Amino acid sequence: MKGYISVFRLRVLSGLQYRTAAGAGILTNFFWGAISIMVLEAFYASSGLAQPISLEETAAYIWLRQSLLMLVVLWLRDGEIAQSIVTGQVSYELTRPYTLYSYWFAKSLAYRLAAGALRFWPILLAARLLPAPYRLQLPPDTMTAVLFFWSMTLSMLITVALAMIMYATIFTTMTPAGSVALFAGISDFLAGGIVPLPLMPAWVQALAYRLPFYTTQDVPFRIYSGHLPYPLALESIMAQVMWLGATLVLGQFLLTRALGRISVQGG
Amino acid sequence: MIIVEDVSKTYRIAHRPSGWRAALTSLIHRSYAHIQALDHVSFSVNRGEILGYVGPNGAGKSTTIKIMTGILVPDGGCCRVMGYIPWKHRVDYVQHIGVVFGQRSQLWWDVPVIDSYELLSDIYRMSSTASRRTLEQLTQMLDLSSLLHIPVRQLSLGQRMRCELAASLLHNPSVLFLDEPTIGLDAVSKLRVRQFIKTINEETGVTVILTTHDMNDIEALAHRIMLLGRGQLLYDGSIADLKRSYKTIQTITVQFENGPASFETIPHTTIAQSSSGRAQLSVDTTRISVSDVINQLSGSLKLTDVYVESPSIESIMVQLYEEHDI
Repeated sequence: MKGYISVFRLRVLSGLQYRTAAGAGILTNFFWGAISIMVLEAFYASSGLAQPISLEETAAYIWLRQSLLMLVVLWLRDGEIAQSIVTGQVSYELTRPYTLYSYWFAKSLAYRLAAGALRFWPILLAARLLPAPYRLQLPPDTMTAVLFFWSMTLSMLITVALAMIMYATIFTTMTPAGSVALFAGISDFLAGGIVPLPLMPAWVQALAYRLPFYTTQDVPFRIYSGHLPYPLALESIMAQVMWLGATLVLGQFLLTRALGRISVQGG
Repeated sequence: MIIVEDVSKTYRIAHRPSGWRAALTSLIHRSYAHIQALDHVSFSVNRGEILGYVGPNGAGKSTTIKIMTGILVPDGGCCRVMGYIPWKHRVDYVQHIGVVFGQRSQLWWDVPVIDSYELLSDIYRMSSTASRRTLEQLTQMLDLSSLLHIPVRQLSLGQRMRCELAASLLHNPSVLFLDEPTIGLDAVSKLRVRQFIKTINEETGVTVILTTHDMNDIEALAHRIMLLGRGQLLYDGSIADLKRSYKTIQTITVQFENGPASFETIPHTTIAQSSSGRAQLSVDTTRISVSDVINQLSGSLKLTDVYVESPSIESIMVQLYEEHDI
């Protein structure tokens, strides 16, 4: 355990060095969020029908996604892990007395937390200061805030567990770009990262709610604004726990299988 | 300590001829070439030995090391190190070994060296007193004190390699695997690395498996060498024995005063090189002794300098590679 905590700490500390990259990322994420809300605002205004999610709730959804991007998107891959598989650096990691899965999990989680810690608060702060309807509302009550916190924590763990599945496939494809493109594009869409899932057509929703991806974004961001009210929120958190278990098991199985048949690259 | 029995490993490599047609065909049907990296290799290593593992590129050295360190699973055969089967008991086993891959780094690139060391001692679950003591010893032996607080990316290759060696020894392993530890190093750094390996082997009795292309490493360190070629073990024995069996051809270089001379009269001797005042002769010592040749030379010439050379380990290796056609 000591080793996993230690690598977590070191990865956070070394991740915090990249402030300029974070600065550039913040601006991009902020403007992307603002534009998304503008587009949705026009869409809400032009439609006469009542929408399944209010514009304020959608704004909160989008600001949370944009500020917590680093924690929940799969296209953010930990370059170090992907590279270590492709270049064969993984051989060193296999000569250490730890389970590769747990070690990478700790490392990947730390990487996301470090990147997230640098970026989330400036965006949230700025979004709090905007005029309505762009403004980020606070959660309706403390209970919702607590539920959001736990749901968000689970989201992050599920994201890392999904990323681990992705890393295991790199052993077969040997191109991180391929595995990521295949996995990340689809997963972000199905997580509700492009358009919030409640605004999707019924058949997309039917598909999305059968897969694990929605538990990484749709669940916590809707819990925050109260769009998933109390009993539903708990139910969704239970679903998160279940999916976390499933993705952990699958990832470990795939990685173990991949390691049994690896050929280390490059001498 | 280490027993390797009948180990084989084959790699499957996607094989594609060049050109558009082949590229398109390979989308549907891929052909694979099978490369036998190790072909029923067996050997054993005793505690405290320094084993030099040599062979041309692609001979299977690294594959053997990766099997012995638990990274790769062989297709057939068995390997036991200290009673463990490396790839089966990987996590328990690797606690007892240290590894340096000369072409890679085990240190974190963008943090100071000491941070990597602290991480490693946590990974190996060492008590802080034990790890501090070992680190102090290693720091002193490898002269690391000025390097510990520098980020790894700013170290020279020689400095980094010293840090890598220390990293592989922090947990007091019983076996040390060094895969090309002197690759790319300058002469001074090489000497330092060699000296250190020798000292640590003598002081702690750690068993060392060393692969290298630098025969000077082997000569300075190895008690025993193994030559691998095309996945097969071609020689296993001491350097002295190897040299003895190849010592039959000696080279004599002579310098002399009087003008052009002819050497054809001396039997079992060939002229490797000759110019006015200087000549190099190869002597087959199974047929004629070196002193006989020198006697005959001094009878006809006024010699100013005589220099007798045994074949270098390097040239023996070249000869061995040629003999086995590898």
